[in-house]
Amino acid sequence: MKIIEVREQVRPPLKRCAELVLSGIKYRLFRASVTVVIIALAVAFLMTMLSESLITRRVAEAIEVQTAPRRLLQYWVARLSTVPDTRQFNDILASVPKGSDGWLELAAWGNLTDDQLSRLVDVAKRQQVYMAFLDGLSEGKRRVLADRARGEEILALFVDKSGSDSRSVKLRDDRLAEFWTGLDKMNERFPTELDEFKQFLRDWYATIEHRAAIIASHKKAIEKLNEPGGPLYNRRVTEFLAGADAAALKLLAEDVSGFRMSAGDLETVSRQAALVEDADRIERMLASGMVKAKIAKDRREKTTDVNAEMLFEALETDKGAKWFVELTDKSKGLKLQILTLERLRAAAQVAKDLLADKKPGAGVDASLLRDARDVARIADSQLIKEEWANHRKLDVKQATAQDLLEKLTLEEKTEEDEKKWIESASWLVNLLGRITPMEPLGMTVGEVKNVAMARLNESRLAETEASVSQMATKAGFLGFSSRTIWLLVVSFLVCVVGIANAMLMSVTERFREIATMKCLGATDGFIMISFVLESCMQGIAGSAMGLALGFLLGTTRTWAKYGWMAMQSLPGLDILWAGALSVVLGILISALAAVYPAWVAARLAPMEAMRIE
Amino acid sequence: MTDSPTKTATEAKGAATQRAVIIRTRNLQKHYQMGLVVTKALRGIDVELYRSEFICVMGPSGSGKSTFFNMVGGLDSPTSGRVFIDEVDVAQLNAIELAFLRCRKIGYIFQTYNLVQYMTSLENVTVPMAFAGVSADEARERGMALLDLVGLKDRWFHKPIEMSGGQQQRTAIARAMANNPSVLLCDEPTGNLDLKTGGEIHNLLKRLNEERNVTIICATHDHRLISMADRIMWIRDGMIERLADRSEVKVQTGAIGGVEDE
Repeated sequence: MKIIEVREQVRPPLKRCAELVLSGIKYRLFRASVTVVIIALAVAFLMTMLSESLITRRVAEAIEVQTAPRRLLQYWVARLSTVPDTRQFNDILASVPKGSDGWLELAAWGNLTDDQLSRLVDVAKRQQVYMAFLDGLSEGKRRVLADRARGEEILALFVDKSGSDSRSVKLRDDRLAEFWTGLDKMNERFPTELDEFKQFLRDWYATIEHRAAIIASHKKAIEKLNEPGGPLYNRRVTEFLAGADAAALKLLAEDVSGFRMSAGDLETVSRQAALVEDADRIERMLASGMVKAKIAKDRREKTTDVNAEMLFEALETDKGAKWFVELTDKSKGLKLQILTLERLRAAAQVAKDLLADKKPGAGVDASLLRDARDVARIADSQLIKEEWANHRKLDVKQATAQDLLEKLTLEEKTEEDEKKWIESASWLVNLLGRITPMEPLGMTVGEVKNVAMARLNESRLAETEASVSQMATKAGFLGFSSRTIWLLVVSFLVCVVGIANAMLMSVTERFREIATMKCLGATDGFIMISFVLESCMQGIAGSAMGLALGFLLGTTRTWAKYGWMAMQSLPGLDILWAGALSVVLGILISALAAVYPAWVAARLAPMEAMRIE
Repeated sequence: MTDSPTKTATEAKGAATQRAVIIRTRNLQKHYQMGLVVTKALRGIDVELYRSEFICVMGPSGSGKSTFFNMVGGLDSPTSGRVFIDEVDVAQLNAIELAFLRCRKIGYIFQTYNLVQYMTSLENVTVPMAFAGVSADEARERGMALLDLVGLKDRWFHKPIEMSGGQQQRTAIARAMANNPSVLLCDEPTGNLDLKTGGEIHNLLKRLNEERNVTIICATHDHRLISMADRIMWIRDGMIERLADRSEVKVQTGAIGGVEDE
């Protein structure tokens, strides 16, 4: 018998294999495209989630930077108006960097050496850990352990106050033991061992006076600022900060109270405070009926619905800002002290003479003369004339001061005249009433516009911040919720099943073709590789489609949510990585899904080719 | 390939003792387990097929004819017994060696042609060459030569769907000849064709047999093909009923139809 002289069968190169597979795919394009769509959907879903999450994170970072001045201002306003509560104070202590302005400030207020303050900071850091644990307990458990005590009060429970001073601290061991066994029963794990906690309690109680001293100094400092002659006496904090300069800084730091603010912070804070002040001043103009009426008319809303947001939106344009500044200019000095309509008639009578350069008649006393001058000035003002023309539907040239005064001084000869007079007089009083709350603005058109823009920007930022914080602050993988991860996994599982099903059907359909190939010398490996390769090619096409679709969806969704910020902070490199991850995953998944069908195909007996259906 | 001296063949006709054996079977048996019932498709076949002969295998359906074909073609392994193809024991080959054998030693021709639908006829013909590691250029050249041989040179770019049954079968024959096999296994090659086209296929097979010395093993019911064969083998109930030279068949029965009709 001859020894087997059969050599190893040649496996066609991958290129040839790919060519064969490609022509096969072209032949069964419909089925292939269904598979491609399945992959595309799964990859698109992943890519949407990834890009959305990445963009959201970047937006959150951008917001963090952009809102820094606002937060700094809030911080300073809070510091200059109230002392922090114990919790806030502890956080401040725990996070103060050594040698910073904050450090120096605390040292000065508590009259502490660096070592003492270091110890205080150390205690505060340890306290943070314990407080976080105690806050994390449920209300019921806390009640059992510490009755009604909250926060630091719980710590105070364990100290025997009568027997302690800052040098030697006695602890209530009975209460501590009770607390400890209580925790045990609740299966709660305390962050440290009991001994460490005891040491902390001693340190904490020993430093309690220092803490109190700092708080007291802070309080005194605020009082000093607010006493007559102090910088905050009868002033808002922002009002003071808006105009703060180096002198004010010195005043804060040395003369008055020991608040220390760096020059850089001062610049930021005063700019931010000025913006707040300006915005407030503009917003107060909303009290004027004329402003409200104009905005309501432009936006087709009810006058009562007009709010600050609408006002700033109106002022954001050149036209709106110009109108606003002109209106406030024109309404300057349009104030009238007259209370009754009869008095108004008398004053108008005199005003007529004044405008005609006639000497006022006899019997005009000083106060009437003063009112008459007011009336004359008002009647002659541009704004009133315009409004009068509007009201009477007259040409602007016809609506003169004389015409208005004529109407205001109509004698009651007939009922008709009476009506007309009352109508005109009450119109004027009403109009003046609507104008009166306006105060001089003292801002240029450009300034108004800038303030409006900054203010709107801030409120948009706040809005975006709210929606971003929901997503960005979440822990875990890229801020995905467990639900999202679950959905992603399920979508890929469905994808695997879908591809496997399509490939299995393809294998069944091609039984004869596969068997023939085996008759022609194809090895099992070749059959297997060509099926996996086919799936991979579909995977590549699907992933590419999914990538584009997912990126588009993700960016559109974030754009809809965060607006222009999403586009400004597009994390290019991260997105690229996310895209690579999605594509690789898509291809891997499709290759994986094809393994079983490919195995079925490879196992097929070549004699199936002989079968005749 | 050197001729190995033939072993003492039990049924060897006197004239055949000097001829080279290409396929030899020894007590070939194949059983199929169908649930609890064991179907004995082949019940001990001992036969020697000679190099470059034209042999027709006949038998009613269910006779074990197809099973015999699968064994001889290296497509299936026997339950017991042995198959030697070119003196190589098929049962001892692993999957890859079997693939090698199918690729170069045997050409298959199916009743349903089994061309790959999405390939042109040239591509179909060159598929086995790709498996044999022939370079693309050489494959194209050889493929065109083979298409020329079967008379389809100017149709190399046609896909199976654009060709008639006869043309498809001729392409399939060209494909079976791709790696110059020693044996052509034809499973009712003209079963789906009309008389005239079938006749062309017969002539082509005969020509290959004569010009290229290819052994042709052909399962068929077609009288005209039988009349071209060197030998005829009848299989019934998994056994060889009869194995005879064509001349003997003519002498003994006088009419092929009589044999065929039973």
